[in-house]
Amino acid sequence: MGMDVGAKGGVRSDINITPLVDVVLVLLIIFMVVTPMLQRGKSVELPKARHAAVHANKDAPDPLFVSVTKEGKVFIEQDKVSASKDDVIAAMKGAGEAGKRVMLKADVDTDYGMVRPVLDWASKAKLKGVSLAAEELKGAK
Amino acid sequence: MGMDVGAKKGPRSDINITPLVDVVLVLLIIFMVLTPLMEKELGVRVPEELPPEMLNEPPPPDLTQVMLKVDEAGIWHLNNETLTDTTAQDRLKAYYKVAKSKEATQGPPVIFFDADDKTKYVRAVKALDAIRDSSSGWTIGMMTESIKAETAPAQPGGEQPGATPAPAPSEPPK
Repeated sequence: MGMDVGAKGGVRSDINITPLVDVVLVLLIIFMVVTPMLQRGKSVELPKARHAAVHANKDAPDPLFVSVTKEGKVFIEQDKVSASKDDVIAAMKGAGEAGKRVMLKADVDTDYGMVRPVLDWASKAKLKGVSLAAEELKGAK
Repeated sequence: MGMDVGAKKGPRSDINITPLVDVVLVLLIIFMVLTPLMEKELGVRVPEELPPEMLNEPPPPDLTQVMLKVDEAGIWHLNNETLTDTTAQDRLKAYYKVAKSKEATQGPPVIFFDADDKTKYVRAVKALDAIRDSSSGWTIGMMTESIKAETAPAQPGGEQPGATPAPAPSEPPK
């Protein structure tokens, strides 16, 4: 970001890219820091589905995130659920009463036997349904 | 972003739009990065907890239940029928047509879904996606009890997928 001062012959015709590089590097760093924070719930590898879509109602309140990892551990948001499933049911019930939906994030490699209990708890928490988190699969079938 | 130094004649009258363009471009990049990160989802239903007295309501006499199961090997079964990749869409669409035609008496088309305990979750979601492929009108009901565990006498009630995985009470549609 220097300034050309003094006697130089002619005009500099090349663009000074230093500020551009500065800005791009700062953006890169910002996204590197922010991206992991943006993900709600535990970080799992989500399955891909053609019909996955962003929830239709934009004004819907933030969902409650329940994650199931590869090993079958269950997390509410970031907190690991200890032995008691009642915690999950209570949390889901609270979400349901607040008008939130429950977003279930399960890893692609999870056994389905680990996922079904979560659906059962959602049912016990008097929820009507849950949302299964998935990545959108682009392209034709 | 240079500076004009030195003797130039008169003040510059045009607005300097460079900072504006900078900011707009940065915003554009931010949104380009953030938009794909939004959570996508597939909506499914879970059985409603009904008070016990409502469990005794008899189901409609011509009740059609559609039930898709993914077994351990990842193969799909629609009621009693084994689906292959080529027939799956046709069969699902045929069942949808039947379920839709009975909407007046039985309510909107419901398909019950279950997968084997050992099935990987990704295969289950693939099947759910295929159901949505065949028609977006399906209400997908997730069963919350494994079918193998279902040795107790089946309870009636069409809205109780957890309790009644009835084995193909309907004639398979043509």
